[in-house]
Amino acid sequence: MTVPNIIEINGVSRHFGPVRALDGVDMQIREGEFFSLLGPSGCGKTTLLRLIAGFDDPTAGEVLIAGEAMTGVPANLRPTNMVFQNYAIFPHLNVGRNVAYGLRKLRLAPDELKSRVSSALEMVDLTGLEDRGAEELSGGQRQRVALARALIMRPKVLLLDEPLSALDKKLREQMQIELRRLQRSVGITFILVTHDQHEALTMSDRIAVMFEGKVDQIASPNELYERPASRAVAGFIGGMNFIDAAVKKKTANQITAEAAGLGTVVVASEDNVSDDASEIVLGIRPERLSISTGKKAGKNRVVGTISDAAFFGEVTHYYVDLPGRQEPLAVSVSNSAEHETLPAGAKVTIGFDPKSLVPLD
Amino acid sequence: MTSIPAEKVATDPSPARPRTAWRSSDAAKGLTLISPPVLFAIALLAIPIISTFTYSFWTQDYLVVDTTITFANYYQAWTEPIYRLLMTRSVVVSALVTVITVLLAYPMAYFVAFHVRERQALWLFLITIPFWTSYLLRVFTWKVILGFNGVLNSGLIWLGLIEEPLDFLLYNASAVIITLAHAWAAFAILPIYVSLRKIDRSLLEAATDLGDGPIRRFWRITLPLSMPGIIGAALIIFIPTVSDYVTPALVGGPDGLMIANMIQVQFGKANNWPLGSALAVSAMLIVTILSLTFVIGARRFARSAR
Amino acid sequence: MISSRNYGITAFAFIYLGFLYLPILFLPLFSFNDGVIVAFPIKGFSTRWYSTLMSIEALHDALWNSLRVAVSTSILATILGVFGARAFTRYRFPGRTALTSFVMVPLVLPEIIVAISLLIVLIKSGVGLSLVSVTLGHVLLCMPFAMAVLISSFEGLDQSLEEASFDLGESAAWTFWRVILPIVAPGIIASLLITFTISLDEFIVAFFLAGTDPTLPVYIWSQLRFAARLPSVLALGSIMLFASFILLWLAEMLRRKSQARSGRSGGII
Repeated sequence: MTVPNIIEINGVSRHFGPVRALDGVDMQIREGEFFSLLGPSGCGKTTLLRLIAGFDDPTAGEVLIAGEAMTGVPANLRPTNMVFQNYAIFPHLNVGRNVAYGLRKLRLAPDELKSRVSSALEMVDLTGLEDRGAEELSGGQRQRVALARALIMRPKVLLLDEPLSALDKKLREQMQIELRRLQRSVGITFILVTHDQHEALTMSDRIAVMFEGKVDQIASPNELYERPASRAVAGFIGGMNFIDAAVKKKTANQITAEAAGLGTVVVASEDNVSDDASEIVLGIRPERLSISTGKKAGKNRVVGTISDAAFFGEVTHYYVDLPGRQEPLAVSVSNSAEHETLPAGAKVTIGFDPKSLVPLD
Repeated sequence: MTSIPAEKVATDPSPARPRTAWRSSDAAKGLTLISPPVLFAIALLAIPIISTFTYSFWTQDYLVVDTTITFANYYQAWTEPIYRLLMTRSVVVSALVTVITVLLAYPMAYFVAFHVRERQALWLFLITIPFWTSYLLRVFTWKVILGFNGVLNSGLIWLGLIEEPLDFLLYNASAVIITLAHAWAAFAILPIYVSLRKIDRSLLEAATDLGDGPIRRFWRITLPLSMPGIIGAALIIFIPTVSDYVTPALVGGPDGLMIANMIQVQFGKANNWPLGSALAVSAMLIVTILSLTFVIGARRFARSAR
Repeated sequence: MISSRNYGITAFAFIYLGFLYLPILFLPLFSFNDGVIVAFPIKGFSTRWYSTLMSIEALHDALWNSLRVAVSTSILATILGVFGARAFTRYRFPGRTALTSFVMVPLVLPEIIVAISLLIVLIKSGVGLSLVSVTLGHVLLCMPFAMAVLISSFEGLDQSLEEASFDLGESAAWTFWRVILPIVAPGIIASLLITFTISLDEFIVAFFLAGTDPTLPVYIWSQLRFAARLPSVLALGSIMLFASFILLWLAEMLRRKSQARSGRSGGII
């Protein structure tokens, strides 16, 4: 079953003088999905969100919402609503009037208006707070008011601009779960802008990872993590060891390469690698490496020396020097009752599964 | 499970926020919006000033204005002793007022900024109130105070401190200076206070930590950093006082008259508008040159502090 | 409130404050003095100078003139100020700083220059002198103050509030009415009060441009020559002092409310 696209971004660029905030972005967002725009600050994700909302016009390309071209359609006539980063709660209005703000044009009867507001507040767990002043709200409550105010408009798409960045860590984690639940229950497409990879991975159906005005990869959280399309994506989402490798033999679906420090490896993938590439980079996640005491080199096993160890609670990170490699290899080990922290200087054997090696550009 | 580099991604949530307007360009909207006040200022400021400038090159013989361009008015304004005297006196009086007022205002501003803990707003309000009352009456009260039969003389006689009224109090340049130093005090205190407030307290602590005593610290940190406030205060006082009309007219007497009084005479009784315009343009020119020189000098001083 | 060891500077501050207030306080003191000569010793308490004020018709006319000028000035200057402040705080456009500074020029221009320049243009263009010309001059002088007050008020207006309103379906005009105006309202009222006060007190421009209709300060000026009228002038001055105080206090309260609303604090008049 194919889900129709609610938003199509076709070749959109946005230049500010010489700065290319967005550079030829293509993207399809499906109806009813929780979609995230993820990237470091300045990557163009907020610019893109504002183009969708209608606060800004693309230099080139077009945005379609529900199949209609939005060129020339101002923000107040688009079927989108936004939760602002600072929530933009109107300071001179109480909670009820804030939530009811966008309903003026509907000219509803007072009773109808009242019941819509109260059910919107109920949805975000603020039942009965209609008369609370805007200045008396906590950060979390402000966010919920902003959500209710946008959702009461029944938009086709809800845009969220870093909505959790102003909250403290604990509240942020709680709101991640709540937002996800809310999105499922209302069934509206959510587009979330965030620079926080955890947030994107936890909440999203799909994520677009952006760097310097371009989309590097659009994929599900799982796929992004397992099969990153570029070094930038791999490095931005989770930790990744990058290993230089020289291609020795390349057949369909398989590359044999000489990897610095790891020796000869056979990679069961040729994603991201052009046909004539002789030098490639392989990525492997720190937790996909195993560590054991003693020197037992062999196939997919190399011997190294621990240069440093860092205890993180549930995991320990080891940095292991390997002959033939400049940077130490990061290895992440789950701390269990059996695992004893190894000291720096210890000789260890690093094991890996070649399936975990990801070829990168 | 996750590792190090990802944790380091900074939480900088402010990407380049496009400032472009929604439907038309920022430039068009901004210019449209600002045009009413600008057009008003062109009509009632730029055109009048240009007219005055033009007038200063014309001549007037009682009622007939001769529009031949001539420097005669400027020659007269800059050579005749009476105008030179009034101009010099205006500048000297105004400079003295500026210096005295800033010297008195600085400790006051310093006190409010550094020694008043909780009620700074109240102090500022108290300082400001007298200055929102009628300028005319504020100046006039000094005439009442300093007059021959005035409050001060009568009070001192009443108290038995003097026998005869002191006649040197009113109708001279000192009376003008005292009155102006009082009338403009708030305009010196507020800018200095603002610049003192802006000084990061940790800079002062750092100076102390690095071995400066309170006095050296004041000369090396506080004073240079409050220079913008001092410059602002000085200009706010100097520019209007040079051409103040009310104070010399009320408390100056013949020996305390200043250039503005002469300008008024030219536009009034003497009915020589071109000469009056030339005097006004000259005064404006002198004020501008002196102010710019002062600003440059003061900035240099602030930078040269060691 | 005051740290203990700085007696010197504290004493100076109080003495200086006394110096600032003493002359002002003579106004009400001698306005209640039962004698024509303004001098010590005080003769006795009397309110007769206040009752004299009631019977001077020229004074009433001057007051009425001043009020009309001040009300018109405050409204016009504030409207122009709203345009300027909005343009300055919200939009980037070529000449933004230069044009704004140009509007602020009267702040650093000697008033007598403004007065004679306007006099020349008004006479030579045949417009003539009237309360209208005084009002125009006062609007010019007050515009910078209105701009300054309103810019600080508009600066507290978060742009995302406008965007939120727009996003929720409102047009630019409705957004101005429903969001911007209510938030900057205290600033607008403060601007009205401050420009009203300035216009009411302004002398030089009114002196040159009033023609045959004197404003209150011009009337007072004409009375200062007559020693016999002094006590009445003092009574009038005391009333004006009190009125100014009330107006400013109101303006200050509103400004604070405005800043609290836009989530900022501190600041001065």
